[in-house]
Parts: sequence; C-alpha cells; structure tokens
Amino acid sequence: MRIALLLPLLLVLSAPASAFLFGGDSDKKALAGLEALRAAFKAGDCAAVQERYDAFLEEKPSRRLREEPYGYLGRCYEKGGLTDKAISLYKVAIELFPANRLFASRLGRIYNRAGFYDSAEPLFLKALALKSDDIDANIGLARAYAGMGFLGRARDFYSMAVVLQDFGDPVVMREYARCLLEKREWEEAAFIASRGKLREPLSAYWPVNQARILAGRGDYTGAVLSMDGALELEATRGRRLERALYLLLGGHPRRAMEEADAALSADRTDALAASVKAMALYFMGEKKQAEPYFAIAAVNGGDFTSKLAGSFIECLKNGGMWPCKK
Amino acid sequence: MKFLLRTTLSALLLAVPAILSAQGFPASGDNSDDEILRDALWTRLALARPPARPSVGLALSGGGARGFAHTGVLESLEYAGFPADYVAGTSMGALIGALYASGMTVEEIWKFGLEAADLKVSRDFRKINLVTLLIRDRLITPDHINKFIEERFGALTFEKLQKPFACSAMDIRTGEKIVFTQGPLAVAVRSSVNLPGIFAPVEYRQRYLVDGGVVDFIPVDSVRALGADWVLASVTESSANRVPENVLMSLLQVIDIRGSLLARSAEKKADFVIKPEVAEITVADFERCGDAGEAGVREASRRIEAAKEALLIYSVPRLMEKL
Repeated sequence: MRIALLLPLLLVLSAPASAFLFGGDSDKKALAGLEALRAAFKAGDCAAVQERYDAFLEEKPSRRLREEPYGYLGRCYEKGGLTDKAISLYKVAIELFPANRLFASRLGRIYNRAGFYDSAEPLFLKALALKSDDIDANIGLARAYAGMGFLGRARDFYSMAVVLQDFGDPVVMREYARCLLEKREWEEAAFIASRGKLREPLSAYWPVNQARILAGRGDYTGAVLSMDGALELEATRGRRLERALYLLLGGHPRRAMEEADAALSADRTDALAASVKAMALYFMGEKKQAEPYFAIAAVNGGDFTSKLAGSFIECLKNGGMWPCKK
Repeated sequence: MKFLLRTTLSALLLAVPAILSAQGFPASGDNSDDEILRDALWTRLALARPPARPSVGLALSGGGARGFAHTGVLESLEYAGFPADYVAGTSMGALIGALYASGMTVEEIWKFGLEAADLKVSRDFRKINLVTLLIRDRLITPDHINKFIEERFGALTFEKLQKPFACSAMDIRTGEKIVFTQGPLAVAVRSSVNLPGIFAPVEYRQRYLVDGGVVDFIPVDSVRALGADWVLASVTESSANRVPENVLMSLLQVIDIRGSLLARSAEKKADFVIKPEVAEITVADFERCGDAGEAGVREASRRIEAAKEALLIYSVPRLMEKL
C-alpha cells in the first residue's frame, strides 16, 4: 500500500529532475535549433550557423545537445579564418567531450597547418586511441611526423591512410609518394606510383615520380623513358631539363646538351640549362668550353646551382684538378 | 616567456591560411631548379663508391647519454642515402660508432638506447656516490659497462669491422690523445667511455686510459686520418646552464664544459656539422636516451638537404670526371 502511494509521488518529483538532467521542454526547442544548425552547416552557410548557434544557446540546451554544434561552429570559424576562435572552441570541446575525436583531430589539423607539429602529435594520437582507423587522424599524424622529420613514423601512418582511403585521395597519395622517395623506399614507392598513375592517368606527376624512383635506383635509361611519358602529358622546361640531367648521368652528354641548348636558345641566362651544358662539356673533357656556361649558372642560379658552378670554376682555375679547394 | 610564446603562437596561427603548404609534403611535384639539380645529382652520388666520389667520414662527439642523439642522426643519414665510408667516435660517440661500424642496423642501435634505462649500465652511474669514493679512496670499476661492452665487442677487432673505425681515449698520466684504429675493439671502446676521476683508468699496454672527450671531443682529425676526404660531425654539446647538485655532478659538468670548448674549435675542421638540441640532457641521463635520439632525427632531418648540397658542391667535379 505504501509503495503504491510512494510510486506516483516519485514520478511527480522525478519530472523536474529529468528536465534538469536531460533537458525538458527547453531541449525540445533546442533540438529544433540543432536541426536548423545542421541544415545551415550542410548548406555551407556559416553566417547562418553562427546566428542559429546563438539562438540555440538561448534555449540552454543540455550538455549532450551542445556537442554537435561545437563541431559545426568550429569548422565555420576555420573556414572564415578565425583560427584563434576555432582553437579556443576546440580546446573547450575536448575537455567537455573527451570521447569525441573530431575536436582533437580538427585542432591537430590547425596546428599542423601552422607548423606546430609537436602540439598536433598528441591530439592525433588521442583521436587514434579512440578509433585507430580514423582517416583524418592517420593523415594528420603522418603529416605531423613528416614535419618533425620522423619519416619512418610518417610512412606508417600515410600507408594506413591510403589503404583506408582505398588509394582514392590523390593529394594524400602524392604526399605518401614523396615521403617514400625521401626515405628511398623504392619498392613501396614504385607500387604507390603505379596506383597513383591508375588514379590520375592524365597527370604528369606520376611519370615524373616514377622517373625519380628509377634514377634513385641508378636506372637512368628507365628514368629518361618515364620523363618522356611525363613530357607527353605535360611538357615544361623543368621536366625537360630534369630529363637532360638523367641523360647526362646515364652517360649521354651530347643528348643532354641538345636539351640544354634548346632551353638556352629560349633564355640564354637559364642557369639550370647552363649547368647541364657545362657539366656535359666538363664530362667530355672540354673543360675550357664549359667555363662560360658555369659562369652563367654561377651568376643567375639559385643558391645551390650558383655554388655548384662556383666549385667547378675553382676546379678549372686549379687546372681541372680535384680537390678544387682545400 | 610563456606570454611571449603564446603571443607568437597566436600570431602564427592567425596567419594559417597563408602558410597552408607547411603541412606534410608538397603535393605539386614541381621542384625548383635547385631541387631538380640537387636531387638528380644526389641519385648518382648516393650510389657511387670511392674513388668515383670523395670518401665521407662521420665524426661522432662525446656527451654521455646526450650522445645517443647520434643514432637519430644516423637514421636520417641512412634514409637520405648519405654515404659513410669511415666512422670515428669519442666516448658515447665511440660506443654508437663502434656498433654502427660493426654492422648493427640503426634500428638495433635504437633498441639498445631505448632499453638503456633498464640496462644495468646505468647502475654504474648510480653507484657514483661521493661518500663511497671517499671511504674507499678508490675509483669505481664500472662492472656493468665493461660487461656490456665485452658482450657486444668481446671477439671483435678493428680489422673485422664492416667500416674503418677509430676511437679516442686519453692517457691520464701524460694527457696524450690515444687514437685506436687497430687491435681489440672492446678495450678501445671501454677506454673511450671511461669517465676520468670517477671510473678507474683502463690499463692497456702500459697506458692508463680514460674518456677521450677531454682531449678529442669531436674526432674530426681521427676520421680524416682514416682516409675521409669530407667529414660530417654530429655534435652533442652541453649548455652547462645549470647549477650542479653535488661535487660529482660538478666534476661531470667540468668535463662536459671542457669537451664543449674543445668542440668549438674541432667543429671548424669539419665540412658539415649537425648539432641536435640536447643541451638540457645531462651526461648520466640514460632514461632520456630516447629523447636524445629523437632530437638527433629532428635536427638531422632539418639539415639533411643542406648537408647533401654541401657534399655535392665538394664532390660533383670529381663525380663528373668518373661518371
């Protein structure tokens, strides 16, 4: 009998408590606000997101309902270049919703873009601890490690990301390919290059990448053939001269010179073309004839090209004897 | 300081849209002329062997636990295909250098460093206690360090190493620099890591040998004497920016400062210097070998393109003649 009386009493009392804990009428309004926010975000209307977020907050939504809008507002801040606001918001969100990996991932992404890889690393690790196959977190961590110089670690996370994406994102594929080139991991690099070519058959990027892999292995004939493929897709001065360098390194100085001459006839101050021609002449023993081209490279080249040409000029002053300078 | 850091961070982050390319590797694939020239020539240099290219030596400095940064440097050099025909080391540089020259992979050397805190080696350093030293009036014999070196190098001689190697020690009686290049390896490495004033000198062929860091902190001359035309030095200097807690730490710090002073003149003789940021790690901080190694990777990765360029500028005239 007592229980029968107590039960309705408890139910009456529990109504305001549940409203306090889980939101009541207010949450119903907030839910409607959330729907509107979601729609504005999906429509890419960040001004509306901001406006509706303020209205949403006025409804004093429960903590549970605030999680999703944080994500919308944060990404809108990012989109609008309000990076400091996005950072503050994500930091709060990470504290409030530690199980939501989106906030850690987005904050890590901002730090990565600014070059603060050390700050980004733990955030991506946190996101991956929550879900190890989170694609964005794998990419983010790979980028953070690449930025810090840890190529081995970067390789592992790039590898995971491209597999999770089924080799579908050309940007990440290219970054991974570059990482493998720098790490001189030729077999995997060749595999990724072949997948990249399948994904982007009309891009010259992949034949150039393939040429660099072959050159790295010392196969200059193969590198020249790959560069030919790249030039068919998109011929640029840089690619023609890179091909000329592979010709020279493969022991074909005259063919390298032909390419360099073509570039020099278009621009006689072309430092890279002058370097190729000068080195080809030097290789053939025509050291005196090489000197004016080294001079062009020394005067017009970038820092490395200029210093390299300077080194040859020193050698020529030394009667062509190595070491050029002690 | 914190305020300054925060302000700088905020300012940089506000400029984020302008520096989007800072993340990951650039995806365009269009290199600058300098990069095209450097990368193409590097493919040749990395595959060539002396005399087709100049020979390259690595000089690894002393520095106790800080010296583990050399492992990170070696990792980055290996990834880049950087040639290393000769190796010389002093103190911790001698230990890492000997492991490397013996054919141990960089991955295996990493493993040794990461386990260093658990190895009994650090017990020899924990044994360094002023009271014990005063009561016994005798220097400590670093049993665990000796055992570790014997286990790894016991049967090896310099002649059996995969790369020519040299390591430096000092005769405590005369102050002479002793450079080992032949004979048993273990005694040479043991002498090179043997802290003077704390560990008993290693007696070998009427010599009383202690850590070479006091006379040859960066063994640039030693690696040149082996035959290297071009020398890359990995230097793990101390900042000495701390007040030592006790007499023994003072002694270690004095040795460290002396080493760093020597380093400044020796590094001028090297053709390229990589200095990992490990100043805050002390000589006996073996728990932080991993941090030191990571600092080595970071600094070497940051400087690797510059190192390649420096070697190419020196080598390419020779390379073109022997193509």
